[in-house]
Amino acid sequence: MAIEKVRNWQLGRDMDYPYEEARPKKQYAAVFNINKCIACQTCTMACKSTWTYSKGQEHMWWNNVETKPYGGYPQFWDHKLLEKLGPNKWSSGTGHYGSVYSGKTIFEAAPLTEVGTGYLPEDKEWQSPNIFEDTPTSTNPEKGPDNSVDLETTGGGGRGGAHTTWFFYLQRICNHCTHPACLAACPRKAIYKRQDSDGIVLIDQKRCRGYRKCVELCPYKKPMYNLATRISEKCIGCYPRVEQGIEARCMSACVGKIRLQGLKESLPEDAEQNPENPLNYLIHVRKIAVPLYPQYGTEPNVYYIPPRWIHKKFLYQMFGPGIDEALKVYENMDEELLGVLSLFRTTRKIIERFSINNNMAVGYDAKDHEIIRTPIDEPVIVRPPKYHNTS
Amino acid sequence: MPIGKLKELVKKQKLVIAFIIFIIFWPVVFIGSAVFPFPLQTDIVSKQVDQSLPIMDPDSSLWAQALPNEIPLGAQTVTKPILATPSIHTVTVSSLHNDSWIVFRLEWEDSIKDVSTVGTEFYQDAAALQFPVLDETPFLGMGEEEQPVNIWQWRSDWQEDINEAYKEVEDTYPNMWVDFYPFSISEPPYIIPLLETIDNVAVPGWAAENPLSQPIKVTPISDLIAEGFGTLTFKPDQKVIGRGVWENGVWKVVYARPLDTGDPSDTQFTVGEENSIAIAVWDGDNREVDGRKGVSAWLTMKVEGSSFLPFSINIDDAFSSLALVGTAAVLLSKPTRYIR
Ligand code: SF4
Ligand code: SF4
Repeated sequence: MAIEKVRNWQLGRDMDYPYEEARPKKQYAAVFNINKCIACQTCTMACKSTWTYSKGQEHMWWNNVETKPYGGYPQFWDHKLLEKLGPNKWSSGTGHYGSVYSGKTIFEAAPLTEVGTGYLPEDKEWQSPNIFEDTPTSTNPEKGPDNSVDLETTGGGGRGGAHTTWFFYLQRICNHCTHPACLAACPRKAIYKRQDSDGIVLIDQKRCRGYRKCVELCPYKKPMYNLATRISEKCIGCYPRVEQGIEARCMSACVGKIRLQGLKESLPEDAEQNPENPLNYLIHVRKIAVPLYPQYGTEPNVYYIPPRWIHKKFLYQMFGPGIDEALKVYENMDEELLGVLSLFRTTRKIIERFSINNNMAVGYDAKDHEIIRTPIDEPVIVRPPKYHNTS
Repeated sequence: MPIGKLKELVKKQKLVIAFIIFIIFWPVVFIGSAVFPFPLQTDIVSKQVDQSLPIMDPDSSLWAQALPNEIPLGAQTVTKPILATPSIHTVTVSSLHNDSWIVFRLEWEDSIKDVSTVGTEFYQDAAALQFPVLDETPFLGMGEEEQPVNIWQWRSDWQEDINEAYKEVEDTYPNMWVDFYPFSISEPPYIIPLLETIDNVAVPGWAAENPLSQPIKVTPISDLIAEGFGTLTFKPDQKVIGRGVWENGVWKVVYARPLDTGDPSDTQFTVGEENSIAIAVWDGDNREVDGRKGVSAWLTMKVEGSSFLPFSINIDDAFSSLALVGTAAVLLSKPTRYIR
């Protein structure tokens, strides 16, 4: 298999990949605001009850919410790969986040016999999806998460700094990556990325032969093996809904209103040309949301507003060098940004364009019809004492 | 007979005696050639028999009439993923035909019988035969564009499904419980429904008609076509049948098909003619699947015709015969020279 050079803007450089660069017209993408998630798992159940309720899928959770740092589904999915890949090295440069990744991606760290580096989880690692729920860890905010290395800055970005005792919730779905490892790994070419429409990555259920190379090489462990059909399945990005301009189930069900999903431009320079698209705006223009483990090299397309109370060193390992800017922007909110964030979960329709004026945030669909109008600052009404009849 | 007279006879009847030596030693040459194949030697000879063939029986006494040949297997190293150390190093191939059907038997040692694929880490044992569809022999790696290969793959998990019943989640996890699967037809008291009682709208691989996901299996052998890596596809008509049996650390698998199917996308076999053949074996517990397998080189096989002679004559045999006659003649002529 030939090795091609493809551009990965998240790394600020080109990287090795087994296929030529093939960016979709529009890219399925989402922003998750970690700061607001309450781990109610409504998203998880919305997905489960739509797609993975049948025989052979008992262990499948295409959407899961895990407690970091210890939680993980499959167990220790990220720890195991981080250990294989080594420390996350970035040097200053001209990349999107002002840095260039100088370490190896999963494709570049591949042994000679494989297209990438990964591992096949054991059955038991899929069996406790919410293991270590709400389990905190304790670290000295003056030092790094391992209690030994001094941090340049005390604490995370949060007012009040990083917490000594901490955990946070990480919401995970398939990232519908620009350079999918699952697709690269499949010896049968049974995985494809929808290039003409939304960049959703799918496993052809007719061609899959259950080799599980996608399960092994996806760094996010989102393809899963169906024990009844003996072939692999993965998050389908709710494509039947997306095709009708409706957000995925996990998005529209979100109780904490932390999620917004839509279609964005694949490259930053194109996104900057279309800043009225809420995803382009949040990810590329304001850089408030950052990718999960960009160092793996797949250019994932779910972006996170990082949690404010976590050590920067930990966030840096997990979200790369974009965290400083993201936290700075999040803590210095202006009306426009607040307007876009207040559109989260006001409609289940995909917002293609937004406009902000007179304290109102307005969303439009693909045909530029207004689909939602919401006040940015809602009026506050204080109930006077005579109504305190329930206290 | 006095020694002197024998010498005289040898001197006069060199060729006749050489021929007698040939008759005696020819089988030795033939069997020897299986171990050290001559460049022109046929690797696998499908012997003709008159009876009906052991299409389902790897232990039939009829196999004694075949000429088994041990074939070395090596790693596939052309396309990723690669497994440099497949665990099966040799496979023994035999073949018989009866003018209308052909059968192959593969035998190989595998101390662990892997028959379940109901678990993320579980892989099946398997073995396949590969033949060119057209006259030319294409690239060994599953053929080339416009030069297809016909692959017959036997799978141990399918064999187990046929021997017993379709293996289900509860076969791997006997203590599992679910309250309910939507789209399943069941009545109280609730028992875990079999896959085949669930509406396949909720079983994606089955609904997509992927043969791997069909809960009812007819044959453990898939009849496939490929035109290069990653192109393996099920043929619309599945024409290969057979059976595999594991006993005392040895798999024996029989493959059977009519010699001629009349379908131009199948490999056809003609009595008296040669075909190319390649063999692959996978060991499940070594996670051998896809291109990670033990594979042979392209070999030649011949569908042998019936013969009144105690041995068959074909070009290759004729060559070895000539060589032997020549050698015998020279050997015999030497002592006479010394006598003089
Ligand atoms: S997250 Fe994994 S499964 Fe999803 S597209 Fe990326 S590599 Fe493939
Ligand atoms: S529904 Fe929203 S708030 Fe609840 S767990 Fe999922 S992402 Fe978090």
